[in-house]
Amino acid sequence: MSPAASEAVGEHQVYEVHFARGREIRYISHLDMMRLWERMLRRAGLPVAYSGGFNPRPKLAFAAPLPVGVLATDEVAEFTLEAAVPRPSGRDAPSTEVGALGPFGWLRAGSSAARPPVWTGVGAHSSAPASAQADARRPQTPIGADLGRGSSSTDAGEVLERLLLQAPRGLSVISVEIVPSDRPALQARLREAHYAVRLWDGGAADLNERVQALLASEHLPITVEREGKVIERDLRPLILDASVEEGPLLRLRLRQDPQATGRPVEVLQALGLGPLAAEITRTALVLVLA
Amino acid sequence: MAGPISSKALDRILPRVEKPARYTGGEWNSIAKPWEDVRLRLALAFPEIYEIGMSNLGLAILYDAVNQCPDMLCERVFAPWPDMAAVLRAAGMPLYALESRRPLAEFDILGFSLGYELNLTTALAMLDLAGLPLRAEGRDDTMPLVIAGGTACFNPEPFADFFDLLVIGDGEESLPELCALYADFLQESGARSQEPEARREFRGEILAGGGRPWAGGRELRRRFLRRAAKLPGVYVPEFYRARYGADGRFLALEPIEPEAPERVQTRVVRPLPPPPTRPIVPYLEPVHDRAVVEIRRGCGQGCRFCQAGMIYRPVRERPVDEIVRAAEAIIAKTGYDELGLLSLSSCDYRQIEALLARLLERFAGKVAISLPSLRVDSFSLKLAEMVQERRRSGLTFAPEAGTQRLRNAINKRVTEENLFEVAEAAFSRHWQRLKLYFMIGLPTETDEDVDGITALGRRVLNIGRQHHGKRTRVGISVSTFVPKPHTPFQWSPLADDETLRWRQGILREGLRKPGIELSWHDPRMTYLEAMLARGDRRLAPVIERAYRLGAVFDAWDEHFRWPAWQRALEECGVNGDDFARRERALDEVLPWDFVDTGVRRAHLEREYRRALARQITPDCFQSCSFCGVSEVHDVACGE
Repeated sequence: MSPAASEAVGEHQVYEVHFARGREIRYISHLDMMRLWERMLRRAGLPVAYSGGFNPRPKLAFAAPLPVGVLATDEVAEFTLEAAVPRPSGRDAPSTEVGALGPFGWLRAGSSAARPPVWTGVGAHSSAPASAQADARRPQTPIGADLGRGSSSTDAGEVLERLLLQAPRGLSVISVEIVPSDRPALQARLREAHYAVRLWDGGAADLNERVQALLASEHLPITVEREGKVIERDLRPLILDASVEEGPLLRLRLRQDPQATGRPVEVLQALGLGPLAAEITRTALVLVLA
Repeated sequence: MAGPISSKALDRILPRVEKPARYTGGEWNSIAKPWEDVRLRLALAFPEIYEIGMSNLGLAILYDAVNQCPDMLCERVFAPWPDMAAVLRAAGMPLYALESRRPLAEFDILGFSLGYELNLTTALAMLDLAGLPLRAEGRDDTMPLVIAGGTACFNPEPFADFFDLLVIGDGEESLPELCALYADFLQESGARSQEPEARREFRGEILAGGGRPWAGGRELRRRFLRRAAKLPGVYVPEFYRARYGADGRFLALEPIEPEAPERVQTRVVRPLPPPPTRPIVPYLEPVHDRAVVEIRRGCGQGCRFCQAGMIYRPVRERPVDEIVRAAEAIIAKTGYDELGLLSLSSCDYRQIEALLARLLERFAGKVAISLPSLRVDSFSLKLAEMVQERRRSGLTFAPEAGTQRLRNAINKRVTEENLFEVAEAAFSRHWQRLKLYFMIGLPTETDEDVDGITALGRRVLNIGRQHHGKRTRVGISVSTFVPKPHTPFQWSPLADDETLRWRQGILREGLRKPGIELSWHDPRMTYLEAMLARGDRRLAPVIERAYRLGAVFDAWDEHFRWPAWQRALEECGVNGDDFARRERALDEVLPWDFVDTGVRRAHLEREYRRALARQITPDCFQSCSFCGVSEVHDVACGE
């Protein structure tokens, strides 16, 4: 059990949630995603805490905005609830309504006591074919390992169940856990983002060579447009690794931290591939604990 | 290409367009029924972009009403922005409905919501993108029945040629009735005798230009229209012939089929059924991003320029309990944190204080309540204060005219004292920003009346400055009066360009002051609206031609193409001024006279005369003005 879980009921409690984004909602923007979550939480009857100040905002934050069009298999967000959610007595099995959702019924992940201190998400998802065929709504992951542990002693399981009932098509809530409320913000802890890029029309014949050349280069100056200004920047230090698999499927490990963000579209551009020639899935976000 | 458009095909085109989520559907509470489980499929088409269409309560009501019928399905389609339209055309992909992603041509009925004259070319663009001929006579029995409803249909004549039929008035009962009638007809006539799968393939072939058993024929269609014409509120344009005099004057609209009634009575739903409680929650931010409950339909104020105030009589109010229950359900099922109480004049809802008290108690700070359309009086301000605990946006009032004389003429029963009192009260509390709506070009208006707007604006600014100094903001939005059918001003002309320009100049000069923000509409757009609003069938070729010349999204500054309209008018030999600017004689037959709203023409005439004499007429609830509606519907208004 995480330390925060033992705090008295009535205290604000922070929850970390993992979710996947499928085809149905791939085209919504980050702001749309925020609204989606705010409303989902309210429908679920989960009292989200608001920030103080002149313009109170719900305490809901994402590790990294998801670009329009990009699919995802393991995104991370956290939200603060005004009070712990009590687990209703006599309801330790999934409700019939949850059961009706079929594949989600068993996804009752609770505490993450078994997880390593540095949560990478890679272990859970990198083995899954996070390509265009992978149905993000049903992560083919060993989440079942969490089943039956923890959820009966914390309210995270109840939060998860309620969210599952209120999630729109295309949003799969994978897990919910209570985390210490004094933990640094997700965005500050973010280090890397992993992508699986499925190239349409076979990509380029010499894709492997291009990727090797990319990795062998010392600098990769590219010009990008930001807020109407054309700026030049070096893409190379943002690419931590790149490889090609059958498909063809391009796997990218890009730097993403408070200082810099590697964008898969820019890597495609550097490889001489059009941004429309690929389907991009973010497979993992790598966060450090502190 | 038959059947749904694959998500793979969409994924190839959507990354190329702005805001692709406009075209993907799948929102919370949207309803995607299995295609083969129903006997009637309706696509509701809204000729504006998604963000505007999803803020339209009428569309939400009809979507709910038809989907409540277990044997029917109702889907949505919005106008694709020009970038998407171009991409669809380039990909050879037809316009599709959001829920099933099936091409519009596969539906049984395609129903347009026409609320505004400037959406007409956009509606044509949608038909075109669906691969359907624009004119009813050009569509054969293999194609969907194409219908329309909405406020603009109270004068359907300018666009009647494009539709098989129009449903005039409240749609929540008439549309399901019409759908059921058509479903029965399809079954009886044998169009439904084939297996659904075979039928779909058959339709697909038709679209691909293949086999055409019924191709070219409209016999089935006409047989159905005969039945439909007998349904109250339904108007079948091809069963009527318009007659014009030698001087070009419209003389009469004559039924040429026995089923066609001489006058079409508009539908009135009474009492209002419980409001829909599972509205779709869009992912994209719509114009109004909130839960909505319509608390009252119709308005008894009797403003003489206001079409909605005349055509949606009698006033119908929902009981407080029903509203509170609906609000609870909607909030629970959507997760919204704002609730809009909708009506033409919310403060006129007779139990408004009790209602607000109940809602505020129920939602205790969790849900903000908004009250659009505030009256200019201190009671309104009191209500605004009750609800604006959490969010203090600006306040908006509509004095409409600058002098008492002119306000009396338009029957806007508001005094200067009312306005100053409200301004004082608002500024002395928390508001720093007020917005005022005015019109210019009103019947009987003089320069002096426009000077009056300037004077009021400055005075309100000064009141604000005593409280907030230079932070005070007064927004003054000036629109141009457009004479609308079924109002006491339906005979009046749109003011001429020179007068309008001169009077805009007066405002620009008089209101050039820090703290005052002046805005107005494009006079060309206003002209177009006026022309289309009071037009007749001779405008259909103009609309079609303007569309072919590139006119679309006419209500958008960046798309409005006046030259296309100008050329279309020239080519068709139509004088737009004849519709927009000509003052009609009181004894003239008007193209929309056959639409019977229950308000007698004699009442409109009387009100017009009273306007010229600057006589005010009290609110319906103070004293009945005998407009005719209460006799037609056998009601005491407001019950």
